Amino acid sequence: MKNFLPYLLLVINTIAFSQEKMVLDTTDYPKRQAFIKEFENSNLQLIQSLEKSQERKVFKMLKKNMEEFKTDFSKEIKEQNFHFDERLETFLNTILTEFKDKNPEIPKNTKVLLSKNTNLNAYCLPDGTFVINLGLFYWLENEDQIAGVLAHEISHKVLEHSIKTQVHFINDELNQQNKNLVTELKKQKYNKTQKAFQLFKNKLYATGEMRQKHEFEADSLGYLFLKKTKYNKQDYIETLRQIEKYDTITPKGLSEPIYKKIFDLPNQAFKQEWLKMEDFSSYDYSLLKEKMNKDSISSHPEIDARIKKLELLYPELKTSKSNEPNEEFKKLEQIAYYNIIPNLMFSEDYGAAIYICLNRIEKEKEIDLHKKLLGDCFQKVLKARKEYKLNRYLDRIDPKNQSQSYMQFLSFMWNLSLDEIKNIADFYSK
Amino acid sequence: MKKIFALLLLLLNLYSQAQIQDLAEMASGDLVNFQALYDQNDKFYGYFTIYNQGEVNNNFRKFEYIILDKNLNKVSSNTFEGEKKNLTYTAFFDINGDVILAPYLDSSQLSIWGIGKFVFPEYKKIDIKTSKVETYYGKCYENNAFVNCEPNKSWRESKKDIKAERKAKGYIDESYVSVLKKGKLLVRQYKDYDKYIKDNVIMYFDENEKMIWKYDYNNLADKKNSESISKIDIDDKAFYGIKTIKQNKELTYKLIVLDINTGKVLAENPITGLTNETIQNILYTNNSSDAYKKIYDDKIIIFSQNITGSMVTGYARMIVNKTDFSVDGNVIFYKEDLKSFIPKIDKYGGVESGYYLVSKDIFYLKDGSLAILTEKFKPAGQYSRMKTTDMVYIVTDKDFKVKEVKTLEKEKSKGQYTDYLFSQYLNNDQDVVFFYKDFQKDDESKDKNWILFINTLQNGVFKQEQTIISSKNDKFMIYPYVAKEGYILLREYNEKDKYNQIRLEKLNY
Repeated sequence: MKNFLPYLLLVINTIAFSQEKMVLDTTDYPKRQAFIKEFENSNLQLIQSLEKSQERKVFKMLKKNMEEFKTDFSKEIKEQNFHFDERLETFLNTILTEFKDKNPEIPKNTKVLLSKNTNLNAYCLPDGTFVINLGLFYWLENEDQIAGVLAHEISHKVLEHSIKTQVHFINDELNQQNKNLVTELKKQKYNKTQKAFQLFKNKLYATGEMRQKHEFEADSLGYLFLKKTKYNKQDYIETLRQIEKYDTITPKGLSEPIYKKIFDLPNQAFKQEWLKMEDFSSYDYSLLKEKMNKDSISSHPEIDARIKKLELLYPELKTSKSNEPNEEFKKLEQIAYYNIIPNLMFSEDYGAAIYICLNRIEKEKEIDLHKKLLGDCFQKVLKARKEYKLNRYLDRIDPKNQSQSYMQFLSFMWNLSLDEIKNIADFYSK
Repeated sequence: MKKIFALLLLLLNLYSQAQIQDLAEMASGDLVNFQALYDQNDKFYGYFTIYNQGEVNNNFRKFEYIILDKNLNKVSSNTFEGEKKNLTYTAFFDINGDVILAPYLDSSQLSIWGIGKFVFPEYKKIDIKTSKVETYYGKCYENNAFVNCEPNKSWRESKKDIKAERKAKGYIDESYVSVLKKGKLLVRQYKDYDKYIKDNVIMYFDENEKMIWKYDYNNLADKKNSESISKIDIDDKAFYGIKTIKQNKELTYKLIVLDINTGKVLAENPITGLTNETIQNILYTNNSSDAYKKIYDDKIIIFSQNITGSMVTGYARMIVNKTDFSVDGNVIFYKEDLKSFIPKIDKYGGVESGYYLVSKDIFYLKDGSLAILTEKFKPAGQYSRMKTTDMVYIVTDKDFKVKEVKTLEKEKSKGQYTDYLFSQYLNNDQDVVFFYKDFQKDDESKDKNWILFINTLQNGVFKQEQTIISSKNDKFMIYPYVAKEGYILLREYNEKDKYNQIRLEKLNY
C-alpha cells in the first residue's frame, strides 16, 4: 500500500513541461542487455575476489548464493523492472561520480540502477550496484537528499555489509554447535516447537541487531562521504525525516464527493450504495498479540534513533536546513510524477493507480490525462474481475491498518458489479 | 504489490538454508485445520486456523489457534494445551458468542487406551472477549438445578454408574440442556427404563435460570405404548416438535406446538402425506444435523429422501406453517415425477449404466420452493473405482412440483466421491450460488485442467460462469473455499511467487 502514498502528498512545482518529454525511454533493450552483461561480470569478479578472502567452506556456500542471486536479479532486469532513461541515469551518475572523486576509498566499479518501483527505497547489491527507486524523485525534495540516500548506500558497499551479513548466516549454518542443537531439538519428544521458536526468535533478533548496527554505521560513514562533496550536509537529516514521514502515513485525502463527480455517467447514474462500507464492528483487533517484537526483527532502526545518533556524532547536523530544488531536479521530479501511474500499472497495482488518478483529478491536475489513465486502469480491473483475479491487484479492507479514506475507496471498488465496472471502463477509455 | 527488494531476496535465500528452515518449520508446528467460522446467527464470521505444536508431556499437546476476520485479517490468537488424544479441533460459535472447540480424535489412541478405559477428550472454549482458552463442560440439569457438567468418564466407569443407578431406582434419570438465544434454556428430561422411556418433561427457563413452564407427557408408557417429542424449532412464539406416538407398537406422528410463554399446547396436528419411514428419516436427520432444515419466521421446511418400505424412491418435503400450525408432506417420485425430464431414470433413482442420483445440496427459497442439486454417482465395483459424471439440478415450485431439471454436463471423474464443492445463500436468502469443479480437456492445447463452475440462481434465473483453477503450462493450482457473502476464497499455489497467495474474489452475479 505504501508505495503510492508519496504522490498524494507531494506538491509538484507547476513548471510547464510538455508531456511527451515526461515519457520515459522504453526502447531500452540494448541498454538492458549491456547492463546485464556488466552486472554478471561484476558479480563474477566479486566471486573471484571472495575466493581469496574467505575460507573454502564459506566460499563454496557464498558462491552458490551469489550465483543464484545473479540469475534471479538478471531475470528481474530482463523483465523490464528498471528504467534506462538517459536523463535520470546521467543525474544519478553525476552524483555518484562526485562521491567517487572526493572519496577515493569508494570502489571505482560501483554503478547505479534505476528501479521502476515507486516506493521510497534504495538498496545496495553485493557487487556495488546501487538500486535507486524512482519513488525517491517523488518523495525527496532536492538533489542533496538523493545524494544523502546514495551516500548511505555507498557506505554499505564500502563496509561490505551485504557480504558480512551473508557470511554471518553461512557461519551460523556451518557452526557445529548450532548443528548439534538443531539435531538434538529434532530428537526431543516434548516442547520441541516452543524451544525451536525461542531459538528461531533469538536468531532473528540477533540478525535484526546486526543489521540495525550496519544501518547506524552506514549513516555515519555516509555523512563523512557526503561532507567531502558539494552537496548540502543539512539535507542529510532532512532525508531521514522524509523517510520517517513516508513510513508513518496512510493513504488519505480522497473525499466522498469525488466519487459522485467521476462516476455519475450519462449511461450509468451514480448509486449511493456504491459507497456503503463493510461492517467490521464485531471484531476486536486489540486482542491480537504479535509473537515477535517487530522492532527487534526489523532490519532498520527507528528513524528517530538514527537522527539522534547522527546529531550526537556530528553536532553540526542539529541545525538542519533544506536546500531549494534546482531546475534539473524539478524536471526529474516531473518525469517521476508522470510515470507513477504507468509504473503502478506495470507492477499491476491497479487499485493504487486508480486511487492516485482520483486524487489528482480531485486536485484538478491534468484532468484529461488522468481520466484516460483511469479508463485504462478500469479496463484492467474489468479483466481481472472477469477472471476472478482482482484481489491480486486491489487490496482487501484491513480496518486495523488502513485509513478511513482508503477503506472507503476499497469499499467502492469492491461494491461495483461487473457491468458497472465495464460501463466506467468504456466511458473513460473512449 | 510488486516488491523487488533484491537484498531481501538474497537474505531469503540464506534463510532457506537447511538449519534455519528446520527451525522455522519446527517453530510453527503443523497446520491441522483451516475452516470457515459462522456466528451464532449463522452469519459468516471468518476463519479458524489451528496448529499442532507438539507434545508437552505424555498426556498433552500444545495447540495454537488463530481467528481471522471475514477478510482474512488476524483477530486473535493464543496457545493452549489439549489432550494428546486429539489430532485437532473443529470450531463453532455457541449461542452466547463464544467459540467452542470440538476435539477430533486420533483414532490410534483408542487402541492404545482400549475401549473400556478410553475417556473421550473434553471440549474447549475460546472466550472471544479475552482470547483465553478453557475446558468447556457445558450445562447440565441435576436435582432441579443447573450445574457445570462433570468431566467425561470412561465407557467402563459410565457403565458402572448406570448399572448402580438402575439397580437402586429401576431406571436412570436422563436430561439434556439446550442453551437458546438470549440465554434462555430448554431442558428435556425422562426416565430410562432400558426397554422404554417414561415421565418425559420439557422445561423452559429464562436467562436467570428461572423456570417459565414445564410440559409433562408420556407418564403411562410401557414397552408397547409410549410418546416422544423431537424439537424442530423454538422461536419467540412457540416450541415446535414432532411427536411420535407408539400404540401397540403402531407408530403415528404429529406436529406439536407449545406456547413459549405458558407451555400450553397450541396445536397437535397429524402429519400427512409422508410415509412413516420418511418421517423416521426426518427425525433421524433432524436430531443429528440442521443441514436438511431451513427455518423462516413464518415456516419451517424440512427436506428428506422419500422412503417406501426400505427403499429410497424420491424426495420429500415437510413444511410447517408457523401461523396456523398446519403441517404438510409432499413427495417427488423419481420415476413418476422426473421421467419426463430424465427419460432413463428408474424408480430408485438409477439413471444409466449403474449411475444413480446422489443429493449434494438443497437450496431452500423463501416461498417454500426448493432446488435439489444431485450428481450422477457410480459406486466402486470389485475391479473398478467409484465414478461421477453430470450434476443434475432439480428445481421445484412452492408446492414441491418439479418445475425444471437442468443437467450440467461434466467429465467423468474416477476415484473421487464428488466434484461438488459448496454453496452460499445470497441477497438475504432470496438467491443462491453453488460451486463445483471439473477436470476438462482444453480444445486448443489438449491439456487437461481443472475448471471451477460458478452457478447462481438469482430471481429464479440460472446463470453459469467458469474459471480455470489449474494449469500445467502456467504452473498453478487454485483451491476454492467458502467466503463471506458474494465472495469466494481462492488459495493459489503459483510458480510465480507474487501470485502465490490467498485471495477473496467477488462473484460476478
